[in-house]
Amino acid sequence: MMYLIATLLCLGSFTAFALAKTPHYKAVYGTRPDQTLSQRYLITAWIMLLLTLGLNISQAVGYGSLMFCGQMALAVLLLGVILAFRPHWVRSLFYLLPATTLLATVLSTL
Amino acid sequence: MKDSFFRSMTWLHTWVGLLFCWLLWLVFFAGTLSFFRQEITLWSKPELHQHSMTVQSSQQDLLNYGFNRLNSEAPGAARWWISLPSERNPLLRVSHLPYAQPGEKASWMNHNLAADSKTPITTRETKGGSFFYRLHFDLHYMDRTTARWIVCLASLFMLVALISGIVIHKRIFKDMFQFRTGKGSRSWLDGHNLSSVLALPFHLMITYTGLITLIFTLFPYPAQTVYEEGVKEFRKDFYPERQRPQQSHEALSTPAFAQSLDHFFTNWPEQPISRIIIDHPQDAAAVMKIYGANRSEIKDEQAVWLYSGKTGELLNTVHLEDSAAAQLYGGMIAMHTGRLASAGLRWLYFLCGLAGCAMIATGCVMWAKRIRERQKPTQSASFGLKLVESLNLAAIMGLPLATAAFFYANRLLPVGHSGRADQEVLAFFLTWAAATLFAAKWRNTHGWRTLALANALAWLLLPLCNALTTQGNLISYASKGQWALFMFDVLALLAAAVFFWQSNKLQSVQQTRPQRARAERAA
Repeated sequence: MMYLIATLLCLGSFTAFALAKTPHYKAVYGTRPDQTLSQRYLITAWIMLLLTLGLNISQAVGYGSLMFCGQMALAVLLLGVILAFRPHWVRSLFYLLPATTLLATVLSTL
Repeated sequence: MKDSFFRSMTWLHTWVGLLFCWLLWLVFFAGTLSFFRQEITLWSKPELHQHSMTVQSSQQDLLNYGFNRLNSEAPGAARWWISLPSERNPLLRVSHLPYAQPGEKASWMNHNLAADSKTPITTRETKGGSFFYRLHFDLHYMDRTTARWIVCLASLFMLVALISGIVIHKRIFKDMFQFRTGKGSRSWLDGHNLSSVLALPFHLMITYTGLITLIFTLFPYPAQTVYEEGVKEFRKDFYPERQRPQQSHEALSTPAFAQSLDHFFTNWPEQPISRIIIDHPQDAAAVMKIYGANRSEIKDEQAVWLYSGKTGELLNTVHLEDSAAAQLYGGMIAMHTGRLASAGLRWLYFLCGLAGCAMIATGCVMWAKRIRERQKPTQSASFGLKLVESLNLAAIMGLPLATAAFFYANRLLPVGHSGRADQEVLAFFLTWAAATLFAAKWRNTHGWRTLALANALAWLLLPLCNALTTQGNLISYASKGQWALFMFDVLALLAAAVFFWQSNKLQSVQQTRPQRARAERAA
């Protein structure tokens, strides 16, 4: 379950990384992001990525690091494909990802 | 040397990559499949599918059963071997090796049993997933040492290509998710970059640790300096559990195996066992070796407890607390093989392996594409370009087709046939040879499309062939919770879908090309 939360967080982090880039933001929302917005996305992305790493490592140092590399690969692949073929899906991801991460977290504490 | 650092690195990346790309494609492809070695073996033996994958009996019960069986069946054997079932392999295997007659080589007598009911199961003769595992580093039809040297060299080239690739890719972070479709060789470059960058830590890790697995072939000098007999003697020292004790020729009437097991279970209650081997079970020199199963720790060598068969005392423990250097070495091998992975990580490994395959395939194709694009329409292709194009088609489309042929042979060859396992392998290589011959003749878009369609059909019909020749199918696997078999079928269907999509894409390319040529002529 913790690894699932970490995977969702990682996906969220790379979504934020993608939205921090002007061409991808434009493909998703149709407008250019201003610099502060890009910077905010970038900071959020790094925080989430560090959280992902922390969560994985807290489970097991070696195994967690391997999971972390795999999760990053999965996240980049998914985003690469979505951005290339269905960029507007990222708009849904923007709400869907935090919601599922929250749901998974709540379920794991039960 | 070229005039600037960047240019020389590009040159290095291109040529180092191209030289070994087809071999690396084979190594990566077989390696990626090897992450599911046990699952492929399970699929290849439909006789096992009726048996439950979950084991109810305790390890102690299974061991007692194994000991009783060996005691009555082969008391005077040279070795006993009991393999306990695991999550991925539901079989209890009880084997013994008779003493060899002078001038002959003894062979193991194996009994595979269903873990709970203890009913013997005879499976068809097949290499299953082990074929791909061996193909990954021993290749086939050649001497092992030569093959390993070749694979070593290829991995070294891969490492050089990876590092030079990182150097020349200036926009790793800027273009991380970039994939622009329908832009000719630009799209291929995007695909190449995306597949490399998304699993970059994995690619570096797997290539480097791959070299480490063969390090004693590549770099035997430290062992040769320290030990008189070199690597051989070093291995003796590093793996004491692999040494066989000398027979004492003094009979052992009451062996102390039960006391040893009790001692083990009392002192290491949490440690699951993977197998037990006993050397000379009826001799006073008998040694019982208990191999502990590695769980998700990053280590490769299993811990072994060696007990005296005569007194039942613990003689030695091996790999229980390794030195830092041994831990590093074992850790790297464990990371490479991925045996430690549970289902989630295994799938991530598989995904990264596929990304590696995509990286190599797009790299090979791109070289040929670029040369073609630079050529004038009147210019005829050079021999080198033709060779690369043919090899690309033969390797990239031929290998999946050959893999499908291997699985068809597994289901369609008569079960009791002698030499069946080798015929499956023959089917694999014959199909690949046929694809290569085809590629030598038709290496244009039409050739790619034909082989893509052949692949699509082969992978689409594989689950059907499985359903017709065995008692299970996609629906029954899902209802019984046999997820390994279920996912095998799903992956075959997914592969078919990808190849169909590819053939459709190629068709549209084929149609637009003559139109474009006509338009250019008219202009």
